[in-house]
Amino acid sequence: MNLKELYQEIILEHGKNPRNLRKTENFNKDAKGNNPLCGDNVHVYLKLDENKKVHDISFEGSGCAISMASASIMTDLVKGKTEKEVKEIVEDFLGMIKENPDLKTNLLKDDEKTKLMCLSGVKQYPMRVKCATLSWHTLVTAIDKDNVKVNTERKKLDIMSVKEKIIEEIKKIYDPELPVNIYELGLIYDIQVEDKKAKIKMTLTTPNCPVAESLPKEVKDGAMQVEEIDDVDLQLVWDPPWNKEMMSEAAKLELNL
Amino acid sequence: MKIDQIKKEFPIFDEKIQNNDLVYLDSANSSQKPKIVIDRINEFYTKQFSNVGRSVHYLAVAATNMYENTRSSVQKYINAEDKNEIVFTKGATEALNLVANTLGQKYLEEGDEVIITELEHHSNYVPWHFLRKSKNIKINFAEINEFGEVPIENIEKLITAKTKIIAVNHLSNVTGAILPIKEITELAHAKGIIVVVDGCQGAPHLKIDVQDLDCDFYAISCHKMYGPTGLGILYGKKKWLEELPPYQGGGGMIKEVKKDRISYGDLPNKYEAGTMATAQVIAFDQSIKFLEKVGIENIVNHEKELIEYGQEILKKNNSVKLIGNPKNKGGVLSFTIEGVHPHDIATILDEDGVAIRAGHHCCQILHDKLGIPASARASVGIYNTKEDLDQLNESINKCKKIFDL
Repeated sequence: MNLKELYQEIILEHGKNPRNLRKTENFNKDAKGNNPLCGDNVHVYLKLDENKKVHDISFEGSGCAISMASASIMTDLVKGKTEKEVKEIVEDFLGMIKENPDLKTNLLKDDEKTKLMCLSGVKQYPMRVKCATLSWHTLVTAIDKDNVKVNTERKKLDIMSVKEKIIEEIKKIYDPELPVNIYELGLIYDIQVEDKKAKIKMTLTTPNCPVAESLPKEVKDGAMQVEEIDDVDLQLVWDPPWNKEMMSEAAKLELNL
Repeated sequence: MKIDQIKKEFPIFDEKIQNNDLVYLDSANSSQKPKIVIDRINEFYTKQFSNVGRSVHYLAVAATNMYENTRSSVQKYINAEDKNEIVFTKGATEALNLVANTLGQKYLEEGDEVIITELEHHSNYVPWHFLRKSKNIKINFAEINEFGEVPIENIEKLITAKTKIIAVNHLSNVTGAILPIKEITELAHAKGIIVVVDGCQGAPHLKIDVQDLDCDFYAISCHKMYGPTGLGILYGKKKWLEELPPYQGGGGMIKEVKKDRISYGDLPNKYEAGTMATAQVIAFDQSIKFLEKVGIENIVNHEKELIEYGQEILKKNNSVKLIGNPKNKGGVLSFTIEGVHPHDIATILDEDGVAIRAGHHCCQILHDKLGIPASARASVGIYNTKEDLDQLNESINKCKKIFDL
């Protein structure tokens, strides 16, 4: 085991001054990855042009020198490559980190391969392999995620499931005076999901409701719990006014109505 | 007390770890094992093995007696009133899950509140979180102060008419803060609140007297107490263990099983379903003997001296930032180095044979609060010396050099 092999000049340099550590404007694909072992996280942003070539790639996150250097070198190398080429490079890199003695791809120049080979030192540190591969796995997730979005049927499904997740969260919130959650109670009039933003329209049983301030905040916080949601636009509306008919059958049953 | 001699009882220190002497500073994660514990496991499997509590042949009866003997030793060691208040589990994690699950089933109603602290290990948070989902309970977090301790006022101010349980750790595995369990219990019991203590770091490093602490439950991790892995202990007041429902069903925990009804065994069998970690339980008796021989007062004093010394030298080391400076501190030195990620620190220290832990130490809530993703942690045990901490400091300097600090 040789520490110098692991912490080579180039890794320390990239680790300290990572390239492309920013957020791409108008990115059209992204994914988050994290390593539950150490709490390291990375968010990869991609902007592909119409030919599915990487026009820009960037990342945000924090981690050890190995993971930051790996993400930094990765973002430098895949610029200008097509989706398919990116995947080939990722596969080659992961193969090298896991078992292969060198890189096989013809898509990288020799000096680029040399840079990547600097990361091969982690082979001797099985616990650190994940540090080197986290951003690469995240890049593939970002690419595949986009394929899901290309398929419109899938897109609908995706949004449905995000909406369902929000509903699940809202169902955890109860009106303090009733044994029924506020979703079954019919207080939620509308939920729409656009990108990462949820638009929720809700009401309260009465404008004089003692939880008028806290309940909408609870709903907002609940929706924010959903991983895919970054922002919540919550509107408290009084029209139409709430009435008992808006309750679900289950809620009516629970309240013996 | 001669630490050199105590250290000799641990065979691992005779080993060269990658050509280095081992500087083991990861005891808060798991402690090393003395020879008597290792030998006992070997002896039991070689000469005495049988399952316990079932068959009537000679080996089974002898093994059962040995197994129950450990229960009595643990009872004495933590001064429990009754032997049946000691339940063996597969770990402290299972002990805490058992408490949360059974209290949740029998005792908690929708809207009830549980107070935990920002210092808690995930094993004293996640089991309560399950009840958020299944019982719609609320969890309130008592905040830490600037020293990384939880003043009792921060717990007191969260108590409402709905508070049913206070679940706290005895000694923080990150800041080293020792919580005033006795005072917390007095406060809680005056209001009819149950106190559950995660004693994973408390039991190896402090004198434990559960009757004096008066807590309702106390969870112990045996592998952090110079004992085998795969074994934990739940202390529970008899009235609770009798009243609460069983946790797992299976062999050994029943009295009578019919097609239309089942009755459960008496304590402690009610909570020990299936074949238990027999060899570990029997070997743990030797861990207790080891602890008694060294003496908990000696352990407390030695570790206090080490931690004070460690704090002193690390404070002088530029760019090292210690996490938590509680008045009452035990066992651990957590730190960060500006400009070096904790995982890089751990890998570089490892090359010198210095074993520490890096990461969030299963305390993400605390690390979020501190605004850091991870930290490095050196933790001590009875076998550590000041020289170990000097080596830690020296290796930290090497780390700074590599990163050009």
